[in-house]
Amino acid sequence: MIYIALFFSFFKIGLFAIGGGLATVPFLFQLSEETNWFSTSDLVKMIAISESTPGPLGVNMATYTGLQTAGVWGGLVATLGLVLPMLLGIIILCHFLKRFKESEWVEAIFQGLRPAVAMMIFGFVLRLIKTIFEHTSTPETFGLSLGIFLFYLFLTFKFKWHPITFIVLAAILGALKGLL
Amino acid sequence: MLPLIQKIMKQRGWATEKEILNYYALSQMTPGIIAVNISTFVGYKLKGWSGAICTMIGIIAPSLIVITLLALGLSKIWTDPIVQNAFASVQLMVPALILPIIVKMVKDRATDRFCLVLMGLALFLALLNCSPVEILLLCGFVSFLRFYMRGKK
Repeated sequence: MIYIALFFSFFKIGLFAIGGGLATVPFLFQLSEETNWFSTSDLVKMIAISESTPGPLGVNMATYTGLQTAGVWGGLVATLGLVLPMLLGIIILCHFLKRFKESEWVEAIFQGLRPAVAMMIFGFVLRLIKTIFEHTSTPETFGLSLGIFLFYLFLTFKFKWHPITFIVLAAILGALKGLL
Repeated sequence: MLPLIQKIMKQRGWATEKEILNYYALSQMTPGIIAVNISTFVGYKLKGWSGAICTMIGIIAPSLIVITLLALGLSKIWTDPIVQNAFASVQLMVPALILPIIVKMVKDRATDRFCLVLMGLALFLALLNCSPVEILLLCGFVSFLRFYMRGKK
């Protein structure tokens, strides 16, 4: 059953994704490689749409993945699967809150996890860049794609705009380039 | 998102700014996405588990509604050549958007040599195509081991 598979896949992501919404991305990338539910290109679509709509990125991604895989109910099931471990985790945690807060070893473990999460996302981005260049550019257009990418990098490092501004800008430039 | 949560919670009198910061710190130490965790903490504080379920439904509702409507409405336009050109360009923008966030994460987190070693290990494993769960378990175990060894000295 696709619904059960979706539910448990996202339950696992909810259980292990630690941090902001981007923390779910390496897990989704792995999912796209293990299943035929969605492609890497779909994942990039999801990130672009999630960055441009309200709601936490990770939750958006779950809804969008479920929807693409198994329709409206798939979206609902994947989203509930994602947030259920958080709900259970926090209810359990609140019972032991005082002990947990003072527990040095929990703190020690999470201090090791946070740098790991950052590098997992970095690893994902590197492989994503490789995939994008493999798929979207031929040897003739490689230079142009690279130039555009470096220009976008310059913009994102230089300006502190909202993500949607960057995405809309890229979309407009891309559409214009197609019209030329 | 954090300042927005703080502002609304203060207006409603549901949680002080300091409480939210506390929940933020705790959310970094619990599984799951930070924004969802914070809202669940507030719900639990106010009304126990039923409150936690309510705030959780509240935080996922916009995603469910907006993304569902958007995806259903957009499903046909992806084949349009102009949209495909636009998306080819957006594809290059997405990694460019994420890289500054990673740089900031590294700056915030690379506090000592041990963190740098862990980062190197995690990146190495990520590029070797190890699963995220394996990487997290290993890094968590290494940090725990280091903590344990220090305690023994």
